[in-house]
Amino acid sequence: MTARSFALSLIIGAGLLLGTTLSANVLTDPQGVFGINIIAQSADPNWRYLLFNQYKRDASGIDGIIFGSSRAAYIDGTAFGDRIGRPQVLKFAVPYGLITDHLPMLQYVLNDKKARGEQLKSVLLLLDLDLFGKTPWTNTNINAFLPPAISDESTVRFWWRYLTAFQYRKWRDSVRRRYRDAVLRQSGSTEKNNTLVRQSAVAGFPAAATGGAGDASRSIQTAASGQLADEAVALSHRGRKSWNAERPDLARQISFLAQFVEICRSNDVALTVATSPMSRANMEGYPDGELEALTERLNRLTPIWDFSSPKWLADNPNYWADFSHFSDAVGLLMLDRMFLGNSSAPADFGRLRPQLAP
Amino acid sequence: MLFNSLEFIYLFLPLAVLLHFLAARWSVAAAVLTTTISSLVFYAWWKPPFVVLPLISVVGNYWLAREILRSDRKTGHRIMLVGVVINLLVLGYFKYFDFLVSIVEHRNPILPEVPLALSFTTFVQIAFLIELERDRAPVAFRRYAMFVTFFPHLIAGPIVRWTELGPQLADKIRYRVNWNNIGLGLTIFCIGLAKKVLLADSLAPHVAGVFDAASAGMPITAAAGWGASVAYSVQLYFDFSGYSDMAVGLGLLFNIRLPINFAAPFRATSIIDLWRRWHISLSRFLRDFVYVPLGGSERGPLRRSINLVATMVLGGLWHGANWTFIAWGAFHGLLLVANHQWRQLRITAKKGLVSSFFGWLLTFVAFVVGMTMFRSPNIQTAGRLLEAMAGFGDAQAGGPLMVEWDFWGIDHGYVSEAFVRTWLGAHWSAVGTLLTTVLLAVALFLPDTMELVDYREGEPRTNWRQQRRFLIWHPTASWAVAILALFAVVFVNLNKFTEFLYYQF
Repeated sequence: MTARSFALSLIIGAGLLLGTTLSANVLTDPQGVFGINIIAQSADPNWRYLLFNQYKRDASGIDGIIFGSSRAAYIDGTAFGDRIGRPQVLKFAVPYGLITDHLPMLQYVLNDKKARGEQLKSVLLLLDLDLFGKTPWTNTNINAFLPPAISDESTVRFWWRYLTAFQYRKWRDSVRRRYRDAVLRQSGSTEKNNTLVRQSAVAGFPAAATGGAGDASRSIQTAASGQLADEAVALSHRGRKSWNAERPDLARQISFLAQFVEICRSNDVALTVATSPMSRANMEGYPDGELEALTERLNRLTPIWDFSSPKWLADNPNYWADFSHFSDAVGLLMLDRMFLGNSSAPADFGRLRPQLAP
Repeated sequence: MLFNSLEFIYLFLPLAVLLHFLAARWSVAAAVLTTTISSLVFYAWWKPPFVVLPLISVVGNYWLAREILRSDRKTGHRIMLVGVVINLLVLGYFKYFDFLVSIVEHRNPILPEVPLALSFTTFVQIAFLIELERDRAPVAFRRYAMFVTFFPHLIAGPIVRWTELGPQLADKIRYRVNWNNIGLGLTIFCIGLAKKVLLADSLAPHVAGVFDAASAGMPITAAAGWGASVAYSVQLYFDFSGYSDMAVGLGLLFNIRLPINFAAPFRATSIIDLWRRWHISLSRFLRDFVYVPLGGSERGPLRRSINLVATMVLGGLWHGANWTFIAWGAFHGLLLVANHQWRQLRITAKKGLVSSFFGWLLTFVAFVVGMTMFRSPNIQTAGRLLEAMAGFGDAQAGGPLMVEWDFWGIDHGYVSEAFVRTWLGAHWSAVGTLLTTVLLAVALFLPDTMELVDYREGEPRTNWRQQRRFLIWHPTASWAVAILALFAVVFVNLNKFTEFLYYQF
C-alpha cells in the first residue's frame, strides 16, 4: 500500500462514517427535528423543539400556557382552559423540564405576542421540588436542545449536532417503533393519543401510562401496588438522600424563577405557580425538611400553590401513574383546587401560600 | 474549537489543510498567510473579541524583534529584556493580578478569565526574543505570525522554539503535499484522539467524585485518596499527551514537525528522568530560560538546589494563580534536589532490576502525591486528601454510597457492600480502581504513540524507547483498518465534548 492510498483510505473511511451517520439521522429522525417520517418514528423526541414548533403553528390562537416537566402532561390543558376561561392553551410539558427551559420559551412567546399585537393572558408554572436546582438537561442532552430561536445558539450548530450525533440505539428504536406501529395498525388496535401531549420518560424512571388527556381512570390503574414500594427501596438503596439534596444549579434557577415572575408581572400575565405532588417513594429520597425549606425559599419570590402530598395521596398507588408522575385524576384535583376553590378534593390537598417577605 | 469536536475534524481541519495547499500553489507567502488566518479563526471560535490579544502580541513582539536586530548588542539586549518584561506583565495582569491582590486583602482569589493560550504564547514569544537576540538572524513577519499562531500548537503547546519552526516555515519543499506525512499525521492524530476521548475522559467522573467530596469537607478513605490521585495522574497523562499527539499529527498534515512533548513518563525511574519525559517542551523552556540563567549547577550544590526549587516554583505558578500550584512546584523542586543529592551519594551508576523497580515506585508515588496538590482546588482540599492518603482518613460509616459504579457488582456478589463502605468510602469505587489499574498498565506497558510510529522530532535526552518486534507502524492495509476502527470507536463517543485539561493553563 502506498502512503497516498493509506492516507486516502483513512480520509474516505472517516468520510463514509460521517455520511452514514448523517443519513441515519435524517432517515430515522430519532429526535423528530427533521420532520421526516419515512422509515422510522422518533424514539427520543426533542419535545422542547416540537412544542416550540407547535406554538409557532398555533401562535395566534394561544392565550394561555402550562409550563412544566413531563408531570405537567398529566394536567389537562382543556380543563385548564375551561377553568380560566381561555379556550386555547399550549402545554409546554417537556421531559425534565426546569425553569431553564421555561424562561427562554416564555420570553420568546411574549416577544412574539407583542410583535403580533396580541397578549398572553395566563400562565401556569408547575415546579418540581425534587428536580429544582438540579443540573438541567437544557441544551445538554440530545433530546433537550432548545430551538435556536430561543436559545441564541447558532442555527448551523443546532442542525450540525442533530446531523452528526452517533446514536445507534435511537436509530434502531425509531425503526422498531415504526415497525411496531405498522403491526398494531394491521391488527386493528390503535394506541390512543399517541401525540405530543403525553411524554413522560424521565431518566431512570419507568415510562408513564399512555392514556389520553382526561382519561383518569386508565392512569389510576397503571401503578401496580408493589411497584411504588419497590421503587422506594431502589431510591433509598444505600441511602442516596444526601445525593438528592445536592442542587448544584439552585442559585441560577432561583434567579431564573425571579425573572420569570417579574416578566409575567410586567407583561400583565396572570401567573399561577404550583408545586407538583410527590409520591411517598419519591419524597423519602430527600432529607427531612429539605423540600419544605426549598418551598419556603421559592415562596419568597411568588405566591405558591403548595401541593405537597398528604398521606392519603402519597401512599396510594392509585393516584400515581408511576414513581414520579401523578395521575390525570390528581391533575384535575389540582386544577379544581387552584381555579374553582370548592373542589371535590379533600381540604388538606393544596394550599395557597402567600408570598413571603424576601 | 476543540480538536475532539466533529466540527473541527470534519469542517475546520479539511478546509484549513486544503486552503493551505491551494494557496501554496500560488505562493509560499499566500500559504503562510492563509494558515495564519485559519489559525486566528480557530482561536476566535472560542471568544471572537479575544483574538485581538494574540494579534497585538504578535505585532508587538515582532516590532521588538526588529528593534533588537537594528540595535547594537548592548541596546538589543536591553530591548529584549524590556520585551520579556512586557510579555510577563501581560501574562501577570490576566493571570495573577487578582491572586496578588487577594494575598494583600487576605481573601480567597477569584478565578480569573484568562485569554485562551496566553501562557503558551507568552512563553513561545519570550523564547523567541531571547533566541533572536542571541542569534540575530532576520525574521519575516508573516512567518513569525504563523509560527506563533499555528493552530496545532497554539492553545496548549508544545511550546515551540523559533529555531525549530522558523527553518521549516522557510523551506519551500514543505509547501507541497506529502502523502507520507499526511498518512503519519492522521495516524498520530487518531491515536491522540483515542487517548483523550476513550481513556482520559473515562476516568474524569471517578476523579471528580473524590476531589469534589474532599473539597466539600466530606470524609475520604486512604484508598479513595490514593485511588483518585493515581486516577488523576493517569487521566492527565492521557489527556495532555493525547492533545500533544494530536498537535504533532496536525503539524504533519502541513509538513511541519512539532517536537515530542511526552516520552512514556510513567516509566521514569527517577524524578530527573521524569522531567525529561513529562511536558518536555515546558521542562526545556524552564531549563534554558530560568534554571540556566539563574546559574544552573555551576555555582555549587547549595546554589543549584536553590535554583532548582525556584525554577520549579515558577513552573508551578505558570500553571495558574493558586497556592496548590506553588506547593506542587516547590514539592517537585525539593524532589529534584533530593534526586541530585542521591546521585552524588550513590557509589555506582549501575542499576539492577530491583533498584530500578524501587526507583520507579518512589518516582511514581512522589508524582502521584504531587498530582494531589495539582488537582485540588485549594490548599485545604489538598491537605485533606494528603492527610487521608497518609492513613488519617475515615470511611463514612453508615453513610450513603455516593457513586453508583459498584452497585451492579454489589448486587451480583462480585464485591461486598461492607468492603466498599469500609475501604473505598462513599466516593471511590472498585470500578474506579479497576479502570485506573488497567489504564495505568496501558501507560506503562503498551508502546507510546511516538514509539509506535517512530517519530523522533525533539527527541528527549534520554534513552526512553523500548525494543519491540510487534506493533510497529507502517502505512499498510492492516494498519489502515486498525486506525479506522479506532477512529470509528472514538466517533461513536464524540457526542459529548470535554475540554482538554491543559486548556485552563
